[in-house]
Amino acid sequence: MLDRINGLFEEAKLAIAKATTSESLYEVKVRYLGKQGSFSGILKEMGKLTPDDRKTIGKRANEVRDELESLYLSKESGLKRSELNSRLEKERLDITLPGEKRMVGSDHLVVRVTRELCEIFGRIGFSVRLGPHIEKDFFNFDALNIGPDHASRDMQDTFYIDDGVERKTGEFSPWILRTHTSPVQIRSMMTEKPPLRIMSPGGVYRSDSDVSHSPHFHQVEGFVVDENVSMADLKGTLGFFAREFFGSEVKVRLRPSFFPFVEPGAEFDASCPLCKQKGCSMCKGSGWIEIGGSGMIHPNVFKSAGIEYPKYNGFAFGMGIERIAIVKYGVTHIGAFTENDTRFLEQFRS
Amino acid sequence: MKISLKWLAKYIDLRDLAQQPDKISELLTQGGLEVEGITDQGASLKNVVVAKILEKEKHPQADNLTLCKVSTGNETHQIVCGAKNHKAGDIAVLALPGAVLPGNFEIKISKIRGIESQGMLCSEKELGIAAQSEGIMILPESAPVGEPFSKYAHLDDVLFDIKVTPNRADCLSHLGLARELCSLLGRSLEFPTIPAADGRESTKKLVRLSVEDTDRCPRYAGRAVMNVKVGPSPEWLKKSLEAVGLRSINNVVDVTNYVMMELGQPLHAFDLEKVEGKHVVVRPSQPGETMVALDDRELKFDGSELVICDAKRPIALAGVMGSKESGVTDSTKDIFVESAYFVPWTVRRTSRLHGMDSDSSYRFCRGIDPDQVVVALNRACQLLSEVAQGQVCSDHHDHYPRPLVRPRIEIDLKYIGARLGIPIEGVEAKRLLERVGCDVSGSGQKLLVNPPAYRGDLKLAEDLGEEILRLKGYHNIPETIPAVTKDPTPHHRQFDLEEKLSRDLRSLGVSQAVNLSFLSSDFQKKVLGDEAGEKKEWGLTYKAKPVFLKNPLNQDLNAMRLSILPGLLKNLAFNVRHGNKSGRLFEIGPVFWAEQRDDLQGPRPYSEEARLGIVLWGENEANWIKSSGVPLVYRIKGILESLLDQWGLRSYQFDPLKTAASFLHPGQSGRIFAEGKSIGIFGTLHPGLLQALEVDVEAVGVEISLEGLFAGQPRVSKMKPLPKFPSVTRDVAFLADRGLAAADIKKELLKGAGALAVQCECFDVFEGKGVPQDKKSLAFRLVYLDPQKTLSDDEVNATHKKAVDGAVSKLGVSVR
Repeated sequence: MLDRINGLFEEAKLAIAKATTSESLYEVKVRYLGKQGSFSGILKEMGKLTPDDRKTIGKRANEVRDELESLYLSKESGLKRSELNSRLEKERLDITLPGEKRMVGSDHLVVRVTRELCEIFGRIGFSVRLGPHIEKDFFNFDALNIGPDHASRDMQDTFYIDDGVERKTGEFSPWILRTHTSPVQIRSMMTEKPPLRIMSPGGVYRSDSDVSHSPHFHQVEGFVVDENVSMADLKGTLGFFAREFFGSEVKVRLRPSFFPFVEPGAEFDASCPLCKQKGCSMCKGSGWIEIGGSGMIHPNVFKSAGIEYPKYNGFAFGMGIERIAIVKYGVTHIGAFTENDTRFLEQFRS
Repeated sequence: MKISLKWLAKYIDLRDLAQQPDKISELLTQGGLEVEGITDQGASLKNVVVAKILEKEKHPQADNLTLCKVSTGNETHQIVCGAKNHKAGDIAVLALPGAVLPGNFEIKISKIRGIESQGMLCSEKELGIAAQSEGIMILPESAPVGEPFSKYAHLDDVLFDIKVTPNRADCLSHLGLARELCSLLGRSLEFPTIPAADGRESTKKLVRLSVEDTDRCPRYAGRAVMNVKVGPSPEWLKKSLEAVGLRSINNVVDVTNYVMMELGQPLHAFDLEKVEGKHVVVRPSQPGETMVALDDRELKFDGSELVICDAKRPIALAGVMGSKESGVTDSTKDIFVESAYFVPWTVRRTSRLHGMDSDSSYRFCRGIDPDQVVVALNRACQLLSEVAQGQVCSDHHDHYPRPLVRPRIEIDLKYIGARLGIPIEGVEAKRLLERVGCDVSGSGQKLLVNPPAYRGDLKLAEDLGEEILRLKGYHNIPETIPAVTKDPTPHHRQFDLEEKLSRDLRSLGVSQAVNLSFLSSDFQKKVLGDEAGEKKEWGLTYKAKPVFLKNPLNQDLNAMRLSILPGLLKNLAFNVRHGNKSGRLFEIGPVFWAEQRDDLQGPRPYSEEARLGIVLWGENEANWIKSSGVPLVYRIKGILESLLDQWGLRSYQFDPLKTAASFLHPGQSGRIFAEGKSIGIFGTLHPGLLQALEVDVEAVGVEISLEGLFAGQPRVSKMKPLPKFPSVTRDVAFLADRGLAAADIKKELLKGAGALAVQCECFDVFEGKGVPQDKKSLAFRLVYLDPQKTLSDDEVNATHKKAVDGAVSKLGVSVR
């Protein structure tokens, strides 16, 4: 019986060595070590042996089985490894082929810059208000200290709505396309109680069109109404904006100017972020770039909007979105903002 | 406005700054008078000299060129010249190497047809002193050879182009600007004294004056000047006017213009002979009166204008323009010079009413200095006697019944300082306000201030605050951040939601577009068709009545948009034309129509509504993964479904349109129905429309009302417990008529299955082999789930059978 065991052992060792796939190896295992396998057959006959024989043979049988098990396991892991390797080799793909790309939409610069501004001013407590584009002259002009005969109505080339009413030359419908987002200032002051800290982004319309002007462009206006507000607060607010938007090294300066709804009025310039004031074509060599208009809110504006002055005071500022987008993103022609050429838009995906 | 440095220097000592026009420019700009450009005449005429042509020969190599020997006094230069109008002995203008003529034309030594030319003989055009000229410029024999041409021709001025804001009417003249520079620099103004007239005749005896409307004409002055010799102006006068952009007409008109540019007071000269009855009347016009203006326009008055008349008829539209008939001509002998103060609004109204602008109306509209009316009149008369040999009458009319009272402004420096964010001392404020011409009394923190008459813009203490700050310098303002004194409020809801919508659409692969809000009404009609009335079914208004502009830039921009789609279609066509054969664009923005929709601040005859529009085009190119794409309409529908999921809409469906939209493919379009209402439409764009736009790729479009989409937003999700029991999936395939909608089968399946079915989607569509010609195979996957227990096979089978049977019996489909 011992001979049979040894014989089977040799036979099984050979079979394990010869197996080339994990399936054939498994068959070997089943044939020799399985429930119905050769060794099980031998072990079943053990009952017929004498106790001494049973002891020696049993011991041997166990040794042989353990050894076969371990041979099997090491063979199996070798085979599995090489099988996995050959599968990996077979599954090799050309990863230089294009992937299944998901399309990514891009920002429109006007929308992006508006968002950037609202985020920056939002961080110091400003909140957004919106207003209608077809506006009444009262909100666009009169309430902003621009009376019907005010010379500065000439400054605003206004689009008038055709309401079908026949009028004399030089007289127009009271309904217009807003020439700035400042009417939102009046509307907010009329409906909300101070302190107010508001910005109003959106489309505005002026009837001029040339290489640097579009008849429909975008603005953000901001204003603060509170007790103890000063022009220093205006300058600080604009300085914060300019540093956040253009870069931490940028400075602002105010220059006296005139807007009927503020007194004092000021243009505000930022130091040229492109050339760092060395002089370039963007700043026309001056080192400064005109950004927008600003000032302390005119007492007459408070009067029309029903705000108690001088208990409350305030400042306001406004700027053109396209204008600052041109400075920050280097857009070379304003047509780019309305053509919506996908090759242009796709440059602003990130 | 153009301002000449030489002219300015007559009234203020600028010797220390004359060589530094940049400094003057910076000073003015920082003072609030923005200098938009500087022209240095001398700079472009450097190395250009007066020269004498000594010899002139034919160029040996070219018949149409000459070879000249030209002397600049010490040196002789060889010059090749193409002109024909010169001869030996002529005095001409020579540009030497190194000169840079207007237009950045640099002169160098060069060879012309083999012969060296050491400069260029110039024409007036090349020198930038005439728009057109023939041949080279020939100077009189007396011109000093060798002298710089700029000196000889008095072209050594510097011109500033200044943007004068509407509040600073006082700066619309050289004297005004000099006065402003004096304030900024702390210098004193020098103005020539005007000698008294010594004529024998009397204006008051010669001319009768009646001012019938002193409200609109608070001051009217006039003086007669006799025996003027009308003719060309002297060179200095011509040059002065030309330098600031005015054309020389004759000596009389030039004097009135000169005084306007000098003092800011518009003047007018009437031919006294043409003033009927020698009676000047200032009165409102009578309806129907007519007048031919100096610019030949025939004016018909409506009774609202202020006019200057003689005994019979209007001879000038006050402050705007005189009549042709009463104007000064070559044969005029005696003149009546008018100098008046008309109130700004009346000039503004008449100028707007008749669409007439003049240098004069520009100044009256902004407000002139009433105190200077007579000064300007006398200055003009003095000049008329000098340049036109007129005899100035010994007296003048000055109708000024109620002299304007200068305001008295109280200013509290403590308050103004707090407002400006910079403390202001009483002594300093007094000094600065006096520098701008104010009379200041009082002391300490409270002052009483009388601004000068020419500063009509100084009305309030706040205005004076700006003056103080301007002279102190805006750069001295510190920077502070205003303290937040109450809770910040949320943004306008629509702003936040539009922001989220843009972000979601970008994440779905669509790029954002922005278009003009106005377009051509014809194009709009072409796209939207003549859809009349509201399409309730669509959830959108395409009203027949768009809002039109009264004064559009052109007919391509004459109406407000009724829809986002026409603009996006324009972008689509533009992109395809530029080779972008596929793309995805969306736009969020307002549309407009004429319909009453009131708001918090009153009635509004116009409606505005925010919309979302999307277009997709192209995109069906094969790639190595897929040989062809799905029809675009399913791609856009997929984007919409993803979007509605992102926005948490509980239920939505897409139904075929009952009323076709003229711009959409009738067989590939539908409405978007979400949570019980229509919010918009989508579909393949009509091939006919695309053809008309020369778009040769497939394209789809969407328009959604944001009011519909934004209802109940933003939504906050609350957690729902996950199912405790497993779900079971069953598939079924039907053979159905090709025209049958998958949604109808889905509806029947869900109806039949009842509450246990939690999901039902069509996952396969097949036509072709094994399916009859007029049929299609639709496969559905249903998911069953009982939240209370594990479903048994029997239960699922029974429910599934009910679902399938329901569809079969209701829709006549068969199980495949």
